[in-house]
Amino acid sequence: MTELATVKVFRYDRAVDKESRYQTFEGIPYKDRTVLEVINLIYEQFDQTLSFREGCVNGTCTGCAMMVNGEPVLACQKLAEKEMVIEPHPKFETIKDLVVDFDKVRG
Amino acid sequence: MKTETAETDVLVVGAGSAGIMAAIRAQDKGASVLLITNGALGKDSAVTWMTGGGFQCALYPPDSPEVHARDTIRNGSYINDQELVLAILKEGPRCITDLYRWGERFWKEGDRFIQDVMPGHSYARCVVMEKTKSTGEIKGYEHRRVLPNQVRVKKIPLLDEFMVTDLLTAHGRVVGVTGIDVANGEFRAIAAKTVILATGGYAACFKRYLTGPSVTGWGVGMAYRVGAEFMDMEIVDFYPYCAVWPRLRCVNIWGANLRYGLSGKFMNRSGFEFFDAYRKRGLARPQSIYMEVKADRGGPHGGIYLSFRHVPVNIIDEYLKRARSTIWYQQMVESGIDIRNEAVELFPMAMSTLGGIRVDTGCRTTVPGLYAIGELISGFDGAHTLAGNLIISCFATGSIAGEAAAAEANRLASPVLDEGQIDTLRRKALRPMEQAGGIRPFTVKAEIQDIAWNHANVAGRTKEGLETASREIEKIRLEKLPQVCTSAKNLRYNREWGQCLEIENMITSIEMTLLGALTRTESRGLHFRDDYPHKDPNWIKNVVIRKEGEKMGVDVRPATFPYFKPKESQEGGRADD
Repeated sequence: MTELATVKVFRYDRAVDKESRYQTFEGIPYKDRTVLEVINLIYEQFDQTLSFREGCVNGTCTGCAMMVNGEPVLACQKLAEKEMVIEPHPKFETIKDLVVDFDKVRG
Repeated sequence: MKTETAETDVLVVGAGSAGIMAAIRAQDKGASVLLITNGALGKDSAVTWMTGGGFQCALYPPDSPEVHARDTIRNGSYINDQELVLAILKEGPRCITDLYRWGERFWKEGDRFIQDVMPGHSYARCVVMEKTKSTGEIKGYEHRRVLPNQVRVKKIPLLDEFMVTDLLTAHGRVVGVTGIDVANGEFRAIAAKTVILATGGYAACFKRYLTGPSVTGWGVGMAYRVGAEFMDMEIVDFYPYCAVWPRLRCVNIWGANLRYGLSGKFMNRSGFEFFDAYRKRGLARPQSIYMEVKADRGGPHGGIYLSFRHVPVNIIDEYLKRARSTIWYQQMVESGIDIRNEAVELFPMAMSTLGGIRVDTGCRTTVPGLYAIGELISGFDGAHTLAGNLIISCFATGSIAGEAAAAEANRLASPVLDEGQIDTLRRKALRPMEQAGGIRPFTVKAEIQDIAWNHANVAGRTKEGLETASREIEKIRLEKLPQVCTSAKNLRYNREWGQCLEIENMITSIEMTLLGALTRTESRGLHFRDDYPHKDPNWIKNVVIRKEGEKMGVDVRPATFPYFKPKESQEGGRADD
């Protein structure tokens, strides 16, 4: 039987939302996948409104910098875990979901 | 609703090495510039950020741009555009000097850059980083540290997170672009006296690729639609050392770490080191691996073996200790493989596309007002790229085009945009958002990638396969392309919207690759036809493709040899790394 993950994803849109929320996705195949691949899978199969940056997918451009279980990671370079909380990188202002504004560092 | 418009002298689409260099040069020449990227500057999927250690430039005698050009053309099997090769390589030294001035930490002693040898080059001409003093390091990090910063320092007007969808024309001339602001979904037209396309190649149109996922031929599709000529689109470079087992989807290139870091030996299922036999037939490494696996002499995961059994265990352990923080090391541990005893499996994946838009020595396309640079052009590499040549051609073409476009813009009046044309393009761009039900884009993308992978790979191309692939792609163009649509309709950061719009460009790119491969009835460099396995001396020619009405027109033109004539003994010389 394939092991499946539970993934909590940060949701927020600077343009419309007053407050952020978390959306939980269950039954996500995660073995041998990176965090970015899991996010892509959630986007393709569960929720197409989810926004995130993909960049080079090679660990060099840092476009997919985000928080996984409270730690800053490059999503393309981090192997997925069975329980994950995925949030935007806290150093920058959030624009939408996992997309941050790299020009705006939080004070 | 009136579309918001802006205007500029030189508009640069794409902010990798070529695009940023072009923008800098154009601004230095006094032109007003607008630089556009589809992501965040320096954090987009520009291939520049992942370039490896090769960075070739002839700087000091006895080396010269002419000798470098001879190496490049010999390696490219003489189908290169010799004038263009020389123009690019002559521009190289200026780029290296400027990059150093802007802060790239090349190794220099006194006023002399230190250079190292790479395969296929007559002299040591690879610029080396100060810190590592080796050609094996990733120079992408350094480019990413320096180039986006130069855009800020030089205050180059930047439009980031903007997805350019089409080129605008008036009286046969390119006069601007249309596109969508990713952050708010707004459709905009931008007028420009000249447009420089620096959108990269289309390696991500193949099922397995090394580039970022958005390298899907955006510029190829746009330029094709306005009638630009393309050349040698059948030539696609595949990187041979990509791991298929243990499988690491995020960094397929990790096989190269082991290949170069630990000097592994390649062997087939019987433990036979097979490369020499293929080399004698003039075949490149990715082709050798492909054929060996297709002949059913590979491993169970569809790759060829890379073994380290000949390396003493303490050397392997020392190497792995240094690599501990990398993801491929973690994945290796997780997969349970012990490289001291077991071999990994490698297979080639699409890396760069050597064919592209045909340009002159000023990087002008055949459409007035439109320039093309970087990986998007053809004619520089010929049939096979020489190690470390791609990145210098990106900087140099950017440099050439930036200045040429600024000079041209200086002579021109402001363009007038055709509102009717903008409206047509707006409706086309918005259709996937307005259509309620249809086909999800990622399934169509996967179909195209499968077709390209199965029939237009680095070897195994046949008339039958290419014709089948062409029919399948045509079916997708006719039946599925008009049906792709987004399932979520949010205007802000809607990924599916971009994916819907890139499909047409993917189709065009692969159609041209298939047509080029069908037309070239021989095997040359990275193009290998199973049914025409030999290099044909009568085929020192270029395959030129352009849009003719609603059809793809193809034309075969003999290559010219203004500087270097093919010699029987040299023709077919090829360097491997």
